[in-house]
Amino acid sequence: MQGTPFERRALHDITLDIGDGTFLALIGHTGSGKSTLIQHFNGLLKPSDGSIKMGSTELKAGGKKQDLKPLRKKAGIVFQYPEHQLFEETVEKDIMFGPRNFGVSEEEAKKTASKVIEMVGLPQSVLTKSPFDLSGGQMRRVAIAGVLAMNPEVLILDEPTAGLDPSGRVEIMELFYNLHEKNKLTTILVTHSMEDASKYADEIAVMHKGELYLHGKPSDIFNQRELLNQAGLDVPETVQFLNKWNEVSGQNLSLSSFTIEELAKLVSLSLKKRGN
Amino acid sequence: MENIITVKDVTFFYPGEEIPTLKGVTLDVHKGEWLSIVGHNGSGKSTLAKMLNGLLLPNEGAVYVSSYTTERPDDIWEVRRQVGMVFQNPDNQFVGTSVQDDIAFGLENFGVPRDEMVKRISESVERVGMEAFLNQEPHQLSGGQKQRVAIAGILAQKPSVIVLDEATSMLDPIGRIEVIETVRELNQKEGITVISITHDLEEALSADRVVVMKMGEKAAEGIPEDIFQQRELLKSAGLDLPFSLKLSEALRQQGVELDKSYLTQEELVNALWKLA
Repeated sequence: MQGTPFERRALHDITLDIGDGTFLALIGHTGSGKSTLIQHFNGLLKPSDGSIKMGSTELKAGGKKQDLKPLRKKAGIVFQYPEHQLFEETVEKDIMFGPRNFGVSEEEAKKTASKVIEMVGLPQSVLTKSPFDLSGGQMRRVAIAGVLAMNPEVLILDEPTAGLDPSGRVEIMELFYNLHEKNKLTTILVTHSMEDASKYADEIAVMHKGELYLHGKPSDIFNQRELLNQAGLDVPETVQFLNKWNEVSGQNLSLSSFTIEELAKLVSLSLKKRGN
Repeated sequence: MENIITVKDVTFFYPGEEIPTLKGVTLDVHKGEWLSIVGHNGSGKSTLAKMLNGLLLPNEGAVYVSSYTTERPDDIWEVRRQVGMVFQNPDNQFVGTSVQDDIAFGLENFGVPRDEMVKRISESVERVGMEAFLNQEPHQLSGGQKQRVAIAGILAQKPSVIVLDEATSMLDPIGRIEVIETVRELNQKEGITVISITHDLEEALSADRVVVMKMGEKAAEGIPEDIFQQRELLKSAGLDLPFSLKLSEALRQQGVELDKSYLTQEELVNALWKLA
């Protein structure tokens, strides 16, 4: 809404390179611009200034109307609460909708549906059901299958585990991580979970007030608690605990993988050293 | 201890379903306590919450709120005044065009006179720390602020119970703390009973009591110290172990001689320091 009283700059001067095959976690508090940024990645929003390049496809500010199909085929977005977007009579039709729109034959689209339903861990029998007769967790998987059916090279996940119970959360994240590894995808995960960011991501980008605030490896990002706090974020629980332990024991230990196992090893070693 | 809500042998079927969503659930809610209800997706916890103020009515059994019951149509308004609900999505429950209009809406429905209304609005926004936002429009507020307005709307009706139905699950970490702290203060200073349906185990840890729901039944009920030691129960209910418990176990596997598993980071750090 440029040039109107409603104009508000949501993103400012962001330069970010995401390498092929990277698992990037995008973090930031609500309103920091994460969702606005990812909507640029498949052309749902066009930049007012600057450009987005994905492989050989480029989306520029202004200019004439550009063909967005190649970009949309390349980048699949799993939105927040994706199950709200299911609409077809059967699960199979819902999954086939995307590929059919991109000119895939009915027969081919059916094959794809049967393949992706397995990928998300659901039985073939689900295909003939109405998506609305499924549980919330199953509906979410069907919606994810619909995105996978487009065979994207870049998978963009906007808080894909919001609202799931803890074990459902782990299952869905493991599903994405396995896909990422097996199909050599580039994955961008928008998340509020510092635990997921530290567990799965190769790189972390922190958004704050519409700008790219920090970008680096998890070990670089999570050693800057002050800066994260200023952006309304915190470090993973393992780091919080280690900070407390450092404080009482007067040490300066740090983590590299942020797992509970690593933390337990580190703390028990430091206890043994004191014991000697 | 005095009970504010009694759920007695409640069984509930959603229309057209053959399997009950709630099966013979019996539950006492003590006056002034913070009760957390946890369980897997589809365990019936949100359905149970909607029973508490008569949004849903049991097929069998009954729900009592002090001397009222949801089965008597004449009691429903009093039940709803006493038991206020805050839902998951902050955007779906904001009905006014400004903060004060939003709070006024609920009061108008109860036929509160204007002078009294103005007084109650200013009182209730102050109790949730939103007095500076009276004339703000919803889109100017963060998710956490919207939820605090929803709570103010409930407070204005002088409730005895606040039910949080995953009210923090769509918020970022800062918004979550903001809402929980607000409710905690109401619970501790004003004695308002809190029932929190949540997937957030750290929040459930600080509750007075925890109820675990599983497949429509009450699987367990007790103080957090007891409930969260039961690994198998938690696993089978789709839940995870809290961070400090997992770390306690990992430390023991590393040969650290902890006398028990600790629930909070502070307790665990202190126990370790004694070993050093």
